[in-house]
Amino acid sequence: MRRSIFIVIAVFVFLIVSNVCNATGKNAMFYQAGDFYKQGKYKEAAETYESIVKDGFVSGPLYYNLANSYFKDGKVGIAILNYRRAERLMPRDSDLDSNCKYVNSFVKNNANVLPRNLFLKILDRYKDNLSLDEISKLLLFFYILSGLIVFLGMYLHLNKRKITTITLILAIIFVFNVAILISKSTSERNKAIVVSDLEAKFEPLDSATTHFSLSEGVEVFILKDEGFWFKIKRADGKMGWAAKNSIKKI
Amino acid sequence: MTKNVNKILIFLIVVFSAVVCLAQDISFEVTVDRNKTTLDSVVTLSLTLNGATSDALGLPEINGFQSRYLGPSTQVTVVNGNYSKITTHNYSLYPTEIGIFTIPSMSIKIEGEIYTSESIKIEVIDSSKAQVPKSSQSSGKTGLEDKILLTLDVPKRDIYLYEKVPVTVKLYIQGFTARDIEFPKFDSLGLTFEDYKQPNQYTQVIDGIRFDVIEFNTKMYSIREGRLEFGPARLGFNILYQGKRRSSSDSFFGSFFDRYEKRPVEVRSEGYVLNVLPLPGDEKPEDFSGGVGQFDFDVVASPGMVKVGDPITIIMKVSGQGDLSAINMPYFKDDDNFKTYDPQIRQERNVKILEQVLIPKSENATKIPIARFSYFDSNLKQYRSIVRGPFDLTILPSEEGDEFRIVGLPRLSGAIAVEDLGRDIIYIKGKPGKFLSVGYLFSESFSFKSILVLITIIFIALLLYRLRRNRFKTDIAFARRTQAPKKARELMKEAKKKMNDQKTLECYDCVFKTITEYFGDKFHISAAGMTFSDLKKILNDKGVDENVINRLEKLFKECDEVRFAAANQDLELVKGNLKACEEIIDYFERNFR
Repeated sequence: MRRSIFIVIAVFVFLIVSNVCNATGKNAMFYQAGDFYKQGKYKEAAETYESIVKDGFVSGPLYYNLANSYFKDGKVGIAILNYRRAERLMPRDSDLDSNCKYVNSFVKNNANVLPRNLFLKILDRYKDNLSLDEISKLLLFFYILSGLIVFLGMYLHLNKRKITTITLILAIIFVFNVAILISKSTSERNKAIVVSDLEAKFEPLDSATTHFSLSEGVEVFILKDEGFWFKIKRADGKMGWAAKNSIKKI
Repeated sequence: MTKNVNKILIFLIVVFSAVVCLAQDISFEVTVDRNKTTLDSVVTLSLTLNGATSDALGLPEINGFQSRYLGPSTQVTVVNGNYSKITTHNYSLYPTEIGIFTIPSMSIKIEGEIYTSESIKIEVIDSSKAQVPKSSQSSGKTGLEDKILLTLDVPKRDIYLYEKVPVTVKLYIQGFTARDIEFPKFDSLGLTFEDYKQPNQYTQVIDGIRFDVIEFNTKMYSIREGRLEFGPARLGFNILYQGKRRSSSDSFFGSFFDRYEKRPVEVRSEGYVLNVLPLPGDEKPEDFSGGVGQFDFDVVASPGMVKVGDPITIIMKVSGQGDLSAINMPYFKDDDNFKTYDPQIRQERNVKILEQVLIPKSENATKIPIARFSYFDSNLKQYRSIVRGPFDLTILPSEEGDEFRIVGLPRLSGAIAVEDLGRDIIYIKGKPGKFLSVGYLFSESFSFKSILVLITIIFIALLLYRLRRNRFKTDIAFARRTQAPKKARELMKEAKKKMNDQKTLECYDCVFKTITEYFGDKFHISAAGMTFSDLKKILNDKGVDENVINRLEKLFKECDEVRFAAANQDLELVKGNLKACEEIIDYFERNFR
């Protein structure tokens, strides 16, 4: 018995220590990349940040700094891609918002978004201001809260009508957030950025007629994946086939 | 006292009514229900006295007709305190020959005054050529053009650009009830119409026929030069006419339940061609406001005594006949003596108002300059200018520290330079934040799912526990059945204790109590006075194994023997009986839950 407890504790300590070492390594690389950036070595900075990503670790500031490095290195498309990735982890960061808008102003032929009604605009705003993780945590919170209220009402014999009303409201909020979570995760899964100028075709063939062109940094929605081609939809609703190597999923 | 007051009031009301009645204007009219008829039809002639009464009048000889008196009818109305009484004497006129005949003018003498009607012409045609309705009841489907008429009227055909012209549309209806009347519409390009005023309703006699008239009034102006088609006016409404009777045998109820049906009708007036003239360009004043019509211009400046820097409010008003919205109001501009603010312009019903604030810059500003309003008078066919002012102004001396200053934002010393702001991205973040695995999503993580499952399990457990507690409270049989093995175990423990203490009698008491209470709880029956024969019956019904019943019977018997016959039993036998009791309970717990 004692032996097994010892083994469990040893594994636990090992995991903590390795995690701390790992974190220290990532942090060191992050600061090193920051030093490159300060020296104006944007390419090196971007490479160092990318190596952290390649190790399988990401964070909002990491993507933000990576995007800054790419932008300074003249790569608008990849910069926007990383800003968008950073947005998913820190959706309400004002620096990120400002940089994103600024860098977007360099995108050529950015198609106008189709007009949205007021309700959809409010919904978009809500969706954009919360990350998927935050919505998940909110859901969990509302789930626990509504359950607690129901059981407290049940065991403490509180006013049934009030409990029902509160639970109903919480249930509506819960369902609303579930819908938002599903919609957001579905749309985020298929969003992509054009990383180099390309021409969208009518068919997934090199010889096919060009339908419209897309500039580096334009955001598109992937509808279908076929061989070397993505069927994409532009913000103005136009659809076409684009070569995969010019498009990166967010 | 109160009675006297009431009497006085009633007397006053009666006197007042009589005076009103006496004061009412008297008129005399002769009308017919149609002025074109056939030989086999009847024309109704009505002699109407408004504001007076009279006996039946003898009709004069009317060529081409025979007459018969139908009787009088009286109508009294009080609307908004206005009393009116109308007496009508009706006659039937039977045509005797074809042709155009004249009902001569008739006279009546009332209170010394002679009232004379106009003569009426009636055309009588052959029945075979007739297109007019035979009677007014059937005219719901034919001959509507004689009964309904729409007219469109403008006072002149030559109008100027932007000149406002009154438009009158009249709907004439005879012998029908019209409902859901819409406002007239026009098929006209280049003409702009104002909203309609409240329509007027009255009656009018035309060629001896009384029509109900609905008059619509509006104004229009042209925004294009040249010849423009105006009209026709179109007007839609529903006419009510009697549907078919349900039963002809019962005339009273038949007519009582007659259904009135609606029939939609659209009538059209005649159209006109308007000649829209351009405004003469030669004499057009430089400050022409764009107004066409007849206008008045008024200017008020207040206060008349101010210090340098104090505001003066100028109010200019333009009112009159014409399109006010097309008028550009005159206003003052900055000059050496006055600083001016942007004018505020608003339009009320028939007046356009401009308000502007002027601030005297120096003590030399002793006169507010003239205000001139120029417009084109469409009646005089020339431009006119109305000049108001100059207005005298008394400038009071400024006190020390009360120097002239413009009200508004505090002014910084020197002009504000337009700052040329550069733009670039915001600098990198100094801290890496919390690192996550690539593609990590809390909603897809093990922790999220396990928390969700755990909480759900807790919720379900709490719910089941609550339901079980509720059932324990409400379902006694369930509560007894559930608690039976627990109680039996406790009693068996006690029995074993007694056995160990070698208290055989008490031990068997315990065993007996265990058995009776266990089966009492198990099958929700009373444990007190339970006998084996009672229990056996129940057990047989439940299909219990015969061996078990036999063992139970033996146990019951041995309990009875020890308890009531004081039979001695050795320890091994007691142990065996206790074991048998436990096994029986186990059997029931396994097979009869």
